[in-house]
Amino acid sequence: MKKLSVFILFIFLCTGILHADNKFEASLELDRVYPGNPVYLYLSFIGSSNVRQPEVVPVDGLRIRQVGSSTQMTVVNGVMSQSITYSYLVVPLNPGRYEIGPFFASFGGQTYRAEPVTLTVVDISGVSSSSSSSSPSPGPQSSPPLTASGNQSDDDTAFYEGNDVFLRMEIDKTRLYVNEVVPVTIKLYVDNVGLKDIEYPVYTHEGFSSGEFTKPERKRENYRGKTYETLEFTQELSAFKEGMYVIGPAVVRCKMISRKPRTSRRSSIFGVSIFMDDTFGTGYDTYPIELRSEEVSVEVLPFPENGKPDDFKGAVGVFSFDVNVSPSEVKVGDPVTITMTVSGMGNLDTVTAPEVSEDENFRVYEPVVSKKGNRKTYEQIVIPRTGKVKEIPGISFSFFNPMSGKYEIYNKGPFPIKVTEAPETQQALKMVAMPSGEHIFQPKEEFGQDILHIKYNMGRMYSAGDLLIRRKYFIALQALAPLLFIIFYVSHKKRRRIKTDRGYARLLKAPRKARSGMRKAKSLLDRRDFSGFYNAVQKTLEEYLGNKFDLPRGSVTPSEISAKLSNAGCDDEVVKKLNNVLSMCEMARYASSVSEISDHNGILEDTRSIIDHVEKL
Amino acid sequence: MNILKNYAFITIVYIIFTAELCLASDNDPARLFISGNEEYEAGNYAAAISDYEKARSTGKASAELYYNLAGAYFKSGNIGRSVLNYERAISLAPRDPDILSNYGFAKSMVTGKEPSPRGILSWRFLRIFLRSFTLNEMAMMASAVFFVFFIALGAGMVFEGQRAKALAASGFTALIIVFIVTAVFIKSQYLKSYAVTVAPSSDALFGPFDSATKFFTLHEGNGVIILETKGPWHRVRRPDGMVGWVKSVDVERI
Repeated sequence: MKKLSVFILFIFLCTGILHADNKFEASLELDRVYPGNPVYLYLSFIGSSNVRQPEVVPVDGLRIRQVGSSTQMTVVNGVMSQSITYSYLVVPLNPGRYEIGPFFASFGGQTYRAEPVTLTVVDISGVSSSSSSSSPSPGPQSSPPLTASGNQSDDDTAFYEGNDVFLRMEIDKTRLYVNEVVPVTIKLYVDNVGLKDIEYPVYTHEGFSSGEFTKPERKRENYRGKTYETLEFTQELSAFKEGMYVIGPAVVRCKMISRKPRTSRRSSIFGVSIFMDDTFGTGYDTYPIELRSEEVSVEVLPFPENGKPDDFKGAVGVFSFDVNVSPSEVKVGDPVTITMTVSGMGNLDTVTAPEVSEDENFRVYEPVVSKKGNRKTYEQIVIPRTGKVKEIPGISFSFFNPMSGKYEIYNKGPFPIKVTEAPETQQALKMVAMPSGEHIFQPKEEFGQDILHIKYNMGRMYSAGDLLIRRKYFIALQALAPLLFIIFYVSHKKRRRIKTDRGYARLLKAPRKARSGMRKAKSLLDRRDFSGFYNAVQKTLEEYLGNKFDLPRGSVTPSEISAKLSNAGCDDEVVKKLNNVLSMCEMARYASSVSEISDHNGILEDTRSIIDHVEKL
Repeated sequence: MNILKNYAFITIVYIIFTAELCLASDNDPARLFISGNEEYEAGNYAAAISDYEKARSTGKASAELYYNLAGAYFKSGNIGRSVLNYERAISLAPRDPDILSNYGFAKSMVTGKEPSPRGILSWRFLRIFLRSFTLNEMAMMASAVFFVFFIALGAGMVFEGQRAKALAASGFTALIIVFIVTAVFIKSQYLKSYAVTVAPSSDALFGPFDSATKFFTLHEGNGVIILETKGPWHRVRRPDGMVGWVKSVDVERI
């Protein structure tokens, strides 16, 4: 019991610890972004890591998807706490003010609520300078900028235009072809100004698909006769439709650091890193600013129709094409791997697998594609169906070279192979493993579908409603167990009492011993052993009454017995009879001749009658 | 004269014996079963169904008889009755792999998605237990565990040093008994009231009259529980708890 109490207390404590301070919170990485800029939404449950992912109700104008989760364990003041955070990526599609949530999480039978979060998506075109740009001032504007609607922006970000910090966008080519990759470089020029919290550029590029920004590079550049520190952001764009497009303007948000006057001049911004986080108070003030580049017009040309190959599928770049076939000797049904490699400069995403057609000679499977750097590889399995196959047909790859403005075609093969018929025992399906080990597949086997055939053996017949629970003998059988248990219980209790209660044990054996004593006395009487008879009678009575009333051997005296019998409610007649019998037995012990006692049978009967009376008490 | 009497006696006995044999053979389930099998193999599914149904009408049936009958219905395109008889076969032989395989295949032909069960039957372990044993087997299990319960109690009395373990064993067996008895109760109710839709489709209405609004539709092979009967209508409940009134002829109890 003590152990159980301690255990229950432990459980309560643990529950208390685990349930202590359960909280559910929602937060956004940023609450103000531009359209197309992704921002993280975090839903954190503090108190346990065993909480299911909360549902995020879709919001018009936002694309939300769950990207991961993380758990954490902390110990604070000896109290352990776990938490789990679900991360979502929110991509705003249009400007506006969006409320996401509320959010609900279930744990331990309770529902926890996190307040909704608000995301403001700013329209880039709404950001404008508040004064003319003919002579840009070196510092931030004195009044906050106006948004497109004419209202003041919600935060203090100011559009900055000056010669000490500015943004430029450069595109290698302004005339390019569909699918052609063109790098776009956005440069941040800085002259003797401290900047921090510089964000990645944001710009519109309608009609183009974009890759990821490369890691920004710091350089120095001489621009218009002045040396600047630059930070370059590079991204690849490729047009997917012909036409005239405007790319940009690019916008970069950052914070400008305003320093207290110094005694020593600094000619470089490296005394204060442009990526510095100056939160610990070195005497700087910071102002959020926006920098904006010029737009760039781009013309996207369609592929020329003249000379377009039939198998051209839109690949653009300068490529080389190579094909390798292995093995060159196989059996019918064995796989042959065709490895096709396209490498070079250009838009590898537009490169699709050169065609290897299935026909009556070959079974062809989907190629496995891998890409590494400027190389794209296709591994395709073909299986010759017959021994008559002598070669794998030629494979061609065509692409458009934007440098020359012409289509180029590579024709490789045909590739001779030797195919032998497989012996019958080996004409089984083969497991095929790709060289890269990424895919294992085998020709698909078709199975027919139908029910199984009938049974021929009728089996055991049952009558309707033939249930065991309705049969009387079964119900009666269930009573057997408790009945046996009751019998066992009672006898077990009796045995235990006999073992532990001496008086009870003597009481139980008294009648049996009395009967045995009487039988002995009778047989002595029959043998006319009167002396033995009276001894047996006395012994039987004394033993019986001693057992009956749990009297010690020495205290089985007539007076003691008489008193016990009287107390037990015995008739006086019986007591008198008993005293008479006992005195006759005493007399017989000391008499010279027991033949003087005439009524021996009477004594025997009296003794029986006394025992019978006492048994009924 | 004596010889004539003997011959007459023998003849009368022979006639009676033969007559009994003839009468018995017409309704003998075994003979009908074999005859049904022959018709099935000859592709005469309607005749096979007739023989199997006659065998069933004798009041006795076996899992194999229901299985073959279900197969004959399936082959003749009657999915509802096929599923019905597979259910009957399963109630007698719940672990027979052939019956389960064919039942699964027949169920796959049922139109629409089977509604997910709700309430106590949504507990998957209970559903598996109910499906895996006949009522008689469950009754025997309960009886055996019942005996074990008392044996455990007795052991606790005899072996005083192991009393805690014996009590724990008794408690555990008591829980098992409760579980099995509950399952027996549920299964016996199920056998009494479970029915399969045998009509190609049956509209379940809000009330037991033709002009009542339709609530949902049962397709042949869908299982339901019959809650009550009013005239030619049954009030039925789907596994997902939806209740409606259907025509009694559209469903048949297993």
